[in-house]
Amino acid sequence: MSYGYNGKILKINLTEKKYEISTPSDLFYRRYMGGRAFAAYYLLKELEPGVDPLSPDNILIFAASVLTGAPAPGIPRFTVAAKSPMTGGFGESEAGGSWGPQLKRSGFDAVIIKGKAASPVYLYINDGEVKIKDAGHLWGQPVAMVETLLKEELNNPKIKVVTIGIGGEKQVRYACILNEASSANGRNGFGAVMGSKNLKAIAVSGTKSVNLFDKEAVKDVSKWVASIYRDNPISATLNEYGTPAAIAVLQASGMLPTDNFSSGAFSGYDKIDGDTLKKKYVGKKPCYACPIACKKQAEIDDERFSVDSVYGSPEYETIASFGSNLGISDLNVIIKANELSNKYGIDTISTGVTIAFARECFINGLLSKEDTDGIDFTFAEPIDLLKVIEKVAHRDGFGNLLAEGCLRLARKLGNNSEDLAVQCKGLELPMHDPRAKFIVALGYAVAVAGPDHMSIPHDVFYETQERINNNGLDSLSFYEPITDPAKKVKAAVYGQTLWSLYNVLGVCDFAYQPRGIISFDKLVNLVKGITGFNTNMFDLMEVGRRAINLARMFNVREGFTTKDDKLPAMAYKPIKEGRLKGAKIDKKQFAESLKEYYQLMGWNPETGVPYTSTLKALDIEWVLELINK
Amino acid sequence: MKEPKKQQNIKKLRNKDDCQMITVSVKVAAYLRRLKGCSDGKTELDLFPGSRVKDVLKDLSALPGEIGLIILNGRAADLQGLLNDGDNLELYQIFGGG
Repeated sequence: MSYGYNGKILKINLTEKKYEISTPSDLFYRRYMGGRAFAAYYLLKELEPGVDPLSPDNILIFAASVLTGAPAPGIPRFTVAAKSPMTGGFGESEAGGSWGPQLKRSGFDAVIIKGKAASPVYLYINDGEVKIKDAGHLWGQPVAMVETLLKEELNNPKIKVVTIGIGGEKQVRYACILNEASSANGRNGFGAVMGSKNLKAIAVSGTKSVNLFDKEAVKDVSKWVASIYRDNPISATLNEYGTPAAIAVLQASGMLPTDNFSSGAFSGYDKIDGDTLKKKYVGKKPCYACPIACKKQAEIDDERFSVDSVYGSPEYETIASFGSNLGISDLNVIIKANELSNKYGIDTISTGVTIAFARECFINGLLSKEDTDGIDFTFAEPIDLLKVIEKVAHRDGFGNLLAEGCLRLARKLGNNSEDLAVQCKGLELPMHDPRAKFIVALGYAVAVAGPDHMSIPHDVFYETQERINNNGLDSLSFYEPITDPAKKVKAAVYGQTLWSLYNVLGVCDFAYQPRGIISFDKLVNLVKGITGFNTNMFDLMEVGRRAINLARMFNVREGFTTKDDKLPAMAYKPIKEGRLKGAKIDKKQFAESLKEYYQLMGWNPETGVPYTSTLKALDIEWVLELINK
Repeated sequence: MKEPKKQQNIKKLRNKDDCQMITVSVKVAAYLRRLKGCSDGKTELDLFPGSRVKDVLKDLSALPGEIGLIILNGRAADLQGLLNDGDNLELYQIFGGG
């Protein structure tokens, strides 16, 4: 009898149109638990090194966790993973919404997809039954339409669907996957991987409730959150404003990415901030079982264009990426840009930062209107952004070059333009300036799947005694505030391990400490209550650490070295405007901290490779046989 | 006797009408509008001389750890920041990721 997990993993071969069901041992679930750990395990064991991520040889994995689907708040997330078309290394991206919980209800804990279908197909997984069905009529359909059409066609209103849009079909390198039209597995280009396999969508449904070990323990956590989320300012801000409340804060702090990260303050910020956007909200889009409901729907009244609110409302990342970072303060254009990105299924961060790169090149004369299909890339006319997004999604004209991401575009342009490409390992940076946050800077350089602002809790949580006493960090051994960059490696390591655990378990960073309101004690009780595992925070942190090391070894096998753990040129140029004017990363300090990071992780500081003793302590020394082959 | 006189003087100082109070303007962002008197996004407070930022937060009923960024007269400040008449205080909630 297993609690929390089904004990079944679905393996599909699209080339052979066959599937099989794998039943890993209880020990497998106890040790790896879900998400990133499941994905790294199977990618290490079953993917040949050196494959082209957009070839049939790549393996695409959708992994829920031992918790997903339980009726508790803030645990709806699932991981998509494969070899990344952006970085060429371990790729992963998480999403909320409802698909993960429904996968568990359909009888499976994860889906592993190999090969390529001869023509477009979709998968239908319903109460343990698996069908590979023709998707010719769905190919070309916008994201929201796919779910609507499938519900009708399958006569099943309960299905939850992950799908790609035209972006994925055209294999835009940073195309994404969405469920419920606004919950995206955004980063790393898995939409392109799906498109390269001729896989349009995966529909799941089922009647199987997650088996709970201790129903009362799970209920306790739900009850507590329900009683408090409206009053606690952290959850209440998300409930009322969502993440866009961050615009005003980051502007005041001098770290709002502006003009391709050249500045940290944007003169038009008040036109695109949380207060302004809130006036356009018409609804909320909560993830499964979560009352915090940070995601919103927006409508606009604009004679130039309309917006379908099914595609949600832009999050902070999208507002900064299509707004301040492009010098755009027309909020309706940003909302429309978000709608188009979701409709076509392309990552709003990579799309925006790649366009920002092209904009800076255009302003500096490295690109001209001849190169950009006649479009003025200063975006003095903000509405021109919408034309560009259409071109990117369809790989049309200049859009075909933009669709490759800023690093590849920079390499094509030459002229030292690579210095203007704001990326690590070939993946564009998110909207958090590393010059303003040293822990985030370290995190960006070392993150296994490329720069990820949600892979590591930010510096701000460690900065005052009041915060660490109230956000749970004191129980992770942080007793005093930390502001000196030289002292931040411990925070980088422990914080990254914690959020790795959250990725493994499908836990939402906004719901659990330090960024959310639910404590580590309650998380432990939840894991115990759902799975019956005799666990505690020490054991769970080891689960997080195990997942990082597995993914790191995948990258080692693909040829990544310490040379790849670096920041873009922009990190060493001073911020031009704003409260943090002049701030930049100190090269020497960064190099020292990076070495210290490797040491604290139990990795060889010269090569960045985990020591055998580290792998042994995590019970994953089996990886060494696969590396040495 | 001296002591009662001292007490009388102290009592006098605690009376707002006798004391030269200082006025501080407070501006708040987004969700902090739920703070006492801040529904318009700003308020003016009459405070005792020698008041600090933490006293303002107490007056506004802010929760511990809620305020992420404090700007006093255009400069970043902390809870111990000393306030003077005519000061401008901006308060932002904590935010780190998203």
